[in-house]
Amino acid sequence: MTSVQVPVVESALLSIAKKKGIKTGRDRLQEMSPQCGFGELGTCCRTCYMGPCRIDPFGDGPKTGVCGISPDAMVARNMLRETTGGAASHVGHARHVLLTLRDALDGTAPYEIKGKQKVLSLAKVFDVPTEGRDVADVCRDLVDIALEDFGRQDERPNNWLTARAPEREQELWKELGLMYSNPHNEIETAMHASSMGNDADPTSLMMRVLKMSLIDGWTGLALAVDLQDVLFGVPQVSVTETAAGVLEAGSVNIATHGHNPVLSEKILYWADQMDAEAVAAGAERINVVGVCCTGNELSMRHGVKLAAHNSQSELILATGAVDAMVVDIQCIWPQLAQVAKCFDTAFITTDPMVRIPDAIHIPFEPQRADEDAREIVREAIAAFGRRQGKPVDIPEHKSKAVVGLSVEAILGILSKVDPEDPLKPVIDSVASGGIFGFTGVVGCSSIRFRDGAMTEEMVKHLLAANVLVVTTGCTAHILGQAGFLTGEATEKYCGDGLKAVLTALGEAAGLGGPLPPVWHMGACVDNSRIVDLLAAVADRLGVKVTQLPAVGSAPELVQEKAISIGGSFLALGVSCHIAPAPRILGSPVVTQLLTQDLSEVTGATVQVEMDPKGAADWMIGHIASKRAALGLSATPAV
Amino acid sequence: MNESIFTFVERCVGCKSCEVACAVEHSRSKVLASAMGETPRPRARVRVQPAENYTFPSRCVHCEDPACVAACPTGAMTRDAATGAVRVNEDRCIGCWMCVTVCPFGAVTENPETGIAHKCDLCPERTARGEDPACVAACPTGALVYSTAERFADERRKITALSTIGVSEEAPGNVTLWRSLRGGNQR
Amino acid sequence: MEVVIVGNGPAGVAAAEAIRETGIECSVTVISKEAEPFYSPCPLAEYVEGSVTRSSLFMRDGDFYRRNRIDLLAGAAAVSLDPSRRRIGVSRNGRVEQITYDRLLLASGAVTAIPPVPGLAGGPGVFTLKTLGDADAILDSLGGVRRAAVIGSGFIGLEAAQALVRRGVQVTVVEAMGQVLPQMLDAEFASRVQERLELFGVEVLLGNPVQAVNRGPSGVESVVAGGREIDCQMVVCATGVRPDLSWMEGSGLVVDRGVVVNDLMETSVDGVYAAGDVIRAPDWSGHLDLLPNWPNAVASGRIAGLNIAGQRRSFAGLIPVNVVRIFDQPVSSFGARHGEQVLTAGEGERARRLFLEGGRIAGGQFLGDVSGSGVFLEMMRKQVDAGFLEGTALSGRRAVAAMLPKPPRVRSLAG
Repeated sequence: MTSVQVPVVESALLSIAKKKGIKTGRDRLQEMSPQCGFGELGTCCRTCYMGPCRIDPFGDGPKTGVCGISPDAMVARNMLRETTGGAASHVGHARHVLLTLRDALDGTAPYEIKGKQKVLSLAKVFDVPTEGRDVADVCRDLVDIALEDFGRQDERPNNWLTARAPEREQELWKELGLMYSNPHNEIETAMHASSMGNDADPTSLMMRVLKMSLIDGWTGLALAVDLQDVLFGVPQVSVTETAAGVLEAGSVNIATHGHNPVLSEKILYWADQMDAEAVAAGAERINVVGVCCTGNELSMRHGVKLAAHNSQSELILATGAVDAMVVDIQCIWPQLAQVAKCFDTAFITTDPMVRIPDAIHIPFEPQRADEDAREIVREAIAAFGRRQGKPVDIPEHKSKAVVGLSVEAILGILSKVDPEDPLKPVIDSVASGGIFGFTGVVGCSSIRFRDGAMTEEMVKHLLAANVLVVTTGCTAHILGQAGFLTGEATEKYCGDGLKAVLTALGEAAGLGGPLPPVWHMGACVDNSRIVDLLAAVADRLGVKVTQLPAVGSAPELVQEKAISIGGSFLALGVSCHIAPAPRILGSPVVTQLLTQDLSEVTGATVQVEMDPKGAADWMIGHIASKRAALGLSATPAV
Repeated sequence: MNESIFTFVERCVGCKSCEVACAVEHSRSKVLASAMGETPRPRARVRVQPAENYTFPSRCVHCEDPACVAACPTGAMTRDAATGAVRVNEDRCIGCWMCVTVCPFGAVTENPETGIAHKCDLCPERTARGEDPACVAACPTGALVYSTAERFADERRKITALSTIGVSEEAPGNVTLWRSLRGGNQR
Repeated sequence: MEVVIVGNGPAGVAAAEAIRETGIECSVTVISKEAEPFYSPCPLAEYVEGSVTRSSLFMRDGDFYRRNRIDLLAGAAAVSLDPSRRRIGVSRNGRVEQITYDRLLLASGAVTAIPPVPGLAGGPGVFTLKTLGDADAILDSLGGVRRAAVIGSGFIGLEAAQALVRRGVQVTVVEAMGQVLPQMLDAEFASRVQERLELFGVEVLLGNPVQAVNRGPSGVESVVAGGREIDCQMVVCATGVRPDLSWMEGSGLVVDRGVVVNDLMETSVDGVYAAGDVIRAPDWSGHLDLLPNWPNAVASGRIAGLNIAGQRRSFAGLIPVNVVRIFDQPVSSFGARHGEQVLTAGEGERARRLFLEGGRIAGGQFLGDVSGSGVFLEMMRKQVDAGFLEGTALSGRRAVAAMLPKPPRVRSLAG
């Protein structure tokens, strides 16, 4: 391997783990490799007990499963189950937020409506009357609309989808039969259709994949984000710090990890309230830091420091400095409990769905949110007490990061340039080529790619070509740690055109310097914010989203959720780069569909590319072709 | 000519079916479900290893002039001149590990439970019945074959010749694609 | 043609077998100092310990010599060599007779190199552990032995110590160097072996050569090392081995601590070959070295036999390997014990370390788990670039891939 540059934070954390004899995911990956080719190709079927069946990719052995299913259908069926897993995760998250909001309105859960403006803007979208009404009443109507989506048994299209998704794309989805009604019914149907002896048509199954992806996008991401903004407020720009260096040896360090801010918001609140208890225990203060996406949520709304992305979650425990790691849902490695055991770290699970051997389980219920959060913070203070006198290894590295770029925040900045038509300066820059195009670089952090700095390297190439990057999820942590979420990065990495645009925007917005070249738009559920932004730009231009010079990338795919999110972008017409390869290569039909034929359907395709420069080149080329189609200059800066 | 186990590396997809079948064959019950609970634990004598974006089942190649046989100070390791099979006589092995120390393929290993060396034995019971060795029988892609060196070399030559003149590819396109996209920057 | 082989150990027997394998017509006479047929000296400590039976030490069946038409002169010692007349003097039953040869193989092995310390060179209660006779003598004398001193902490010394411990004897190992296994391990790994020895009750005295053996009316009473008197009723001297060259004096053979041979196992004298522990031969890299171990004896013996039979076959070189078990934990090493780059994996009693020079493996050592170590030895012999091992678990089986041809690497779906 040439020029593999292990990111500095990563290598510091890894050497700490190594010094302490703690095995990491890298060691486990090494032990696990090589990994099974049938699994990687998607041609292993365990759907029934005549199997497991595997298709010989060389064509000499079995060509179908025992039941006669083709490798194409096998691959599509497996892909549908992956997508359903992803969509179920986001819909589950959204429904939890929805029920918390309902209980808050009922007065049975101690949460207040902080996003009053969001309630009003959503009311407009959903045609809910606001004149002379109390915000809580308006909000109650929104909750009922959402609840109705989960209860109905007819085929009328889903409320959140029809009201929130761009209209031009909805027309296409109607044509394709992708409009859905009750997400729960659809999840049931997908599991049903993909069980033994049902849908065996790869094309039909792949359409189900797209439909499931839309569910992820609109009843998962959009619903969760909309209602989180209602409960906790719409993110606004702030400056924070990223990387493991944000841990403080003398403070009670509480790392919140997972995805659902319903818990972490309360932890943050009570950490502030209980600071005196921590001081009494000998601590300087309580330092709440963010890990993974619940970290992004707190950072977006409160500027909480970001300690680690997902694949570093076990590594920051190896510092010995984390007093409590409090987790909610999704992407919680069971290994965390084992690493925590090596130290005084209280590893606390809170969701009944996330039980991990050797963890402390403190069931968290929104109705008892204050009591539960207090108990958790108290555990952390106690753990801090146990830690006293023992050495900790906190790496020095931390980077400044501008966070909180919700669509509202972005429009706020842009409206300082043009209050009448905030999107105009961006659109003008695209037309002039100052902004060559947009990329959403999103998703997970994968130990398969971390040591090659896949994401960072790819983004460098994009920025040099004047491609503006927006980011969410663990990718945002990666880019934050590497210093991309700062105005300095604009100076350092951007091509002249993008540099000029971001500098002008930053000065107009009164920031005293350029805007960062990579905009942190939130957690992985906040990919709906990227969709909203694209939809707004397309609407302003009067074109379809697929016509925009925009492209997505999940350069370090780990989770099923990334598959369903990716699918929602494909349904919208946004082409996506992905690495590693999804498990489709055992099916020529599905591979052809996703990499080529889909462009005839939604306008989008999938590109797999393992090399950061190659990936960036493909994205830049893709943007160039979209620009050409719009009659814009299509020669990239590099 | 003697039959032995050979590998078409380009056909290995790394599924590890050979490992499981080998361990089961070297169990008392010879049934997966019960073999898992046996003591000593049945162990595979073949291990699938990564090699860049390829994988290969790493095991004893039954050398013609085996270093392990020369190194064995108890006469436990022998090569059957008639069949070419290199085997461990478990009664004579005292677990001194000289064979492990000199095997250039890493194919003789310590069985920590029994304290004696273990390695591929070409499945004498199966081959006596006229069956292929367990790993060969379990290989779903034909990467492992039980053949003579001559037949294997013929086959090999044929594949290479055909692909050289462009008549057939070594592997279908999607397999080549998959292989090229394996792993990450890590490896 | 008359072939005479001096030595009935692994080199001599491997040579005799190789000669017979070729089918050449010749007589083969094997001259053996010992009375027993061919046995393996490697498990002698296990024999003393009781885990290996005496009968299983014998490596060939009772019909071996007859079937292979080998004349075994047992209990016979070579005492002189006259290459000009192609004959050697052999002492047997107090008589010296001259035996002529067309081809002679010197495979007379090595003897324990005993330091010039009063009382150490022999006598009741002082033993070596090199031959079956030595092992039998130790077993015959164990009664009443409560404490023993083992002089030297090479692999024979440590195996002897372990055998005696398992026979219920309290053992002190006396080592002149600053670490145990000084020819096998670096100091750090050696200290872990020492910890294990101590864990099993062996006392280890480092950095002190033995100074004297004290005897009383009932035999050995103590040894003195580092000014300390160590009570013991038995002494096992395991201070390393050296080829016994004394009887070859005046023969004109070129010797340099061992009999110098080329890669055909030919000595400087026409018609005379040498193999096994007695030789100084090219190692894997071509340098002349003394590397007495079983694999080298068998391999060099076989090459000598083939060349004697007229089948020109060259030797791949001595391999510097050693393996020993310390209370059931395997410990092995090969090659250098230092390098400009040191790669380590694992810790404590399960660890491995490779020494690199110029990115190539120069040596390695393995504690607790020796699996796959042969692959690294092969990488050293082939001088394969080993840089890729940095930061890995140093798995030998995985490293095999490094010796395979490199496949092409494409990383894009774009095609």
